[in-house]
Amino acid sequence: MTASGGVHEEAGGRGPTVMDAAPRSLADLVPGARAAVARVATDAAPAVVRRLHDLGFTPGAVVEAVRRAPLRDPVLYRVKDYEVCLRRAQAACVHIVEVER
Amino acid sequence: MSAGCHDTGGTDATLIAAPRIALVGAPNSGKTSVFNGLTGLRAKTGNYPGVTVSRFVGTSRTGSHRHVIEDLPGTYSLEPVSPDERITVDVLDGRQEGADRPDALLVVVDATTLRRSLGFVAQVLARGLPACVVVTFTDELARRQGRLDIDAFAQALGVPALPVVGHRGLGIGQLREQLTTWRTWPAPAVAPPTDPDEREAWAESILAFAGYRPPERHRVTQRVDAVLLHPVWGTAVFFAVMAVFFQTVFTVAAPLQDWVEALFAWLSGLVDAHVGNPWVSGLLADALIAGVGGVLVFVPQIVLLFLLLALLEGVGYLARAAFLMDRVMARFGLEGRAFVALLSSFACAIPGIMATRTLPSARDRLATMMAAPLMTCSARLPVYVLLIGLLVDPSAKLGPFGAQGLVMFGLYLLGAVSAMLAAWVFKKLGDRHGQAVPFFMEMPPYRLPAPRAVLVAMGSSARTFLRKCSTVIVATSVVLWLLLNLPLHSDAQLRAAGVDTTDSVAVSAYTVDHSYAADLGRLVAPVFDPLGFDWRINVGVLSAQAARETFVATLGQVAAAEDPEKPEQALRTMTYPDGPRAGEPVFTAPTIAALLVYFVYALQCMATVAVLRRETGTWRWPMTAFTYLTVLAWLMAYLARTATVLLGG
Amino acid sequence: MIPVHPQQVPGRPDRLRWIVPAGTLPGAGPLAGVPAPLAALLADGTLGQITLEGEAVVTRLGADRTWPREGARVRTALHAALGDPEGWIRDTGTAPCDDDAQLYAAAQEVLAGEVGDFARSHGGSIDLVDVHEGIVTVRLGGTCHGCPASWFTLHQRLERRLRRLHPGLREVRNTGGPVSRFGRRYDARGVSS
Repeated sequence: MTASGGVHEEAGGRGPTVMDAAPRSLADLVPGARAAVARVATDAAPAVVRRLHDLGFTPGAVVEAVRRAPLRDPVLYRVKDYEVCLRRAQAACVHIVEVER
Repeated sequence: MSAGCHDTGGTDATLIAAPRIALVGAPNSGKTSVFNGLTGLRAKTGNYPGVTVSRFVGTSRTGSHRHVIEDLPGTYSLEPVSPDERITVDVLDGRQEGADRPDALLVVVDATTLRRSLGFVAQVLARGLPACVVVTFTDELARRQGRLDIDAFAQALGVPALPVVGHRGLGIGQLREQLTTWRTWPAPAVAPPTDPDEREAWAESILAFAGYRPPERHRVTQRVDAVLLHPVWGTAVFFAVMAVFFQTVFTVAAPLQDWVEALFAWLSGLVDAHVGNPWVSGLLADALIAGVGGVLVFVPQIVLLFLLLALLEGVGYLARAAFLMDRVMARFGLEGRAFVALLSSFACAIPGIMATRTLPSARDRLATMMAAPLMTCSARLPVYVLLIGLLVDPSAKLGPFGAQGLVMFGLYLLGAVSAMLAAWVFKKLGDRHGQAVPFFMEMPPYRLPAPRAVLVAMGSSARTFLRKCSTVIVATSVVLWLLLNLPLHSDAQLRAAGVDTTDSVAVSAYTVDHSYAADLGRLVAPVFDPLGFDWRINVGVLSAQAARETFVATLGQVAAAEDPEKPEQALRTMTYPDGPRAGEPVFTAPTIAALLVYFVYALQCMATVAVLRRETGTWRWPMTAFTYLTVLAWLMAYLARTATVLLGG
Repeated sequence: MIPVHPQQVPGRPDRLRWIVPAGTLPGAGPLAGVPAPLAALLADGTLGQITLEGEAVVTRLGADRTWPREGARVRTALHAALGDPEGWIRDTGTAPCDDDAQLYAAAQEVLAGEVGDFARSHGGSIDLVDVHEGIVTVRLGGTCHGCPASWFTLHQRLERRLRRLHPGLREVRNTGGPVSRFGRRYDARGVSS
């Protein structure tokens, strides 16, 4: 349960460095990393928001990125004891708070 | 065994109409095996009126009690995002046309995904219908060191709950008993909360009370996925699996298909030998037996395809294949699961179209169904072999490759590319109406499928194919035979026309030449004339409208070949009988190219039309597919002819 | 939000037992004061009474009220109240000497309900023999008698359930002997809780 503070060090680290900026949505989560859902973006399509909730991406739920498909999309996540894959576009709607490496 | 289910002394269910019990649950919850367990193999399939959603209804019997069981489309939520899920909600609310509101519900939840599933249970219980929760995969939960006290779970929910291991039939008996008391099932005093936070708190409290311990990660799945979903190894294995898949479908099925062919040839011979009247024997042998044989010859291949699909699905590999291919399919507006359907269509469009059932989005399903007939099915092969043989010299080579093989490969490629583009267009057209369904796919752990479940899945698919297609194909074969053999000609007429009545080839050539089919062929001549087809090719093309492979035999008949199965020689020398091109050879490169391309595109398969009708529930989509593919076939054939002429062919 | 779900109280349709995690609330017994959201429901007559059990809040409806109508409101108020643990004030005026009587009633309820059902469904029976200073003594009959496995299962279930209703429980014992003729001595008192 470490706060994400320690990961911030390289500001703007979008480059190829190992230490990325602290991920802010599920789409930024690298395989093996875990995070807790903060909220699902309200500006996303209502169907997407509802379905992400139904699939278990509820505030507080702990999500782990398990692996990416060979072409980097979709990504397999583990949430609420099961595995589900999402495309990055939808994963980007899930905002996350804390990261545990 | 469940808490709170009281014995009621039994109401006499025989006197009243059978109660309707609906099964609801998430797509991978084991709902179908519970349904199969309750109803045996007596389920009826159909469609909800006007939509492309299959409907499954069966009957469960317990002593004198009879219950109508309906398997509602799988859904993660009662807040629908797709037309299928809307059906489930509409049925529960009694708003679905053609389906009565159920009297009671069986809510199927997977014990290993209980933490996610309780939100759905809350939504269902809030609907207020009598409900019983069926907990599946309890064996897997225990194996993976998870735990659940079912009695405490039932007590906490306030409704009965039963464990069922569907694929092994455990708990089905108790579930049947439970159904008889549906009128007195306890209901929660307070409906579960609707507020998301309160619902979360409710679910957590229930799981704690029931002593729920979630299953540990499935180690086998983790290890296998590390390889099968690996960017390099996973892709390699994927192509290997697909190669083995098709090898099996084609090579293992081939001897079986030969047997079926031999059997029907023998039957035809038997009829020829024992039925005196040539007309009756012709109808029996050439129309009925050949028609039935024409269907049955594809059965080994199709059954094998269904078996492999059921096996891959049961193990969990299809979800992995979809995961690997999703990015590629996304370019054409589809998703990974559509890949499996299109792939199956390489063998036959019918299993491909039936495999679209796994797609949660109705639009993706339609787009895939509209594209599936373009994938090169095995019925096109004999036609391609014949025509390429006429077009390309067998010894011609292009680099290290034989030119014939390259043309064949080109045709497969043309079909596949066209299919993807067609899917893309139909998806675009569909997406104009409202928002798209977001992509998501549950990745189940690898499981050893129960042989019975695989056989049931295969058997029901094969039965559907046989029942729906055999009638259509047999009927069209009979009609075709009649068209090709009517009107009747007496020996006197034949002699008057200068035909040697002892030469059966000459007689059949004369009969075909003066048949209604020939009239039809001449009638449509203006349409096909720009493609270079003469009336005899037209007859072949029209007869192939029922099933592509009949083209070869029909052309053999009209060309009066010695061996109708191998008409190459007769075709090479065939010339236009009349018109401006009279005397010129018919099978020139531009004509053959046009014909090949016509076969790439045209929907010449009544079985596919029948399955499209069945899967979409309306005539609108098979008609759309037929029309667009026929028009496209003509246009592309014209283009191919023009291009070949320009290239100096 | 604190995990909560309601359960019916067998034979008492006017009551609901809201199960909360252990340690959320102070002990068991009647209450002298509840947080404002619940107090409002007592004041407007929605609820008639609120008491605490070890791991549950028991609410009794006011006159002419029904759970389907009031349940959601009570739940929302309860959630709000659980967020304010200081607001729950136990009624210390009530003597705790009645503990065995309360425990006896709780044990009766558990045996009449699901744990008893479990024993009966396996062709056995389980009877309450005695309650003394927090120790509950039961007797197994039928097929359960003399079967160590069934005692293990029943003991676990019984103790877990009973401790939830009554944290003062010290032990559940099994007696091989006959049911005491005085076993039902608390019955006559008509325990109310």
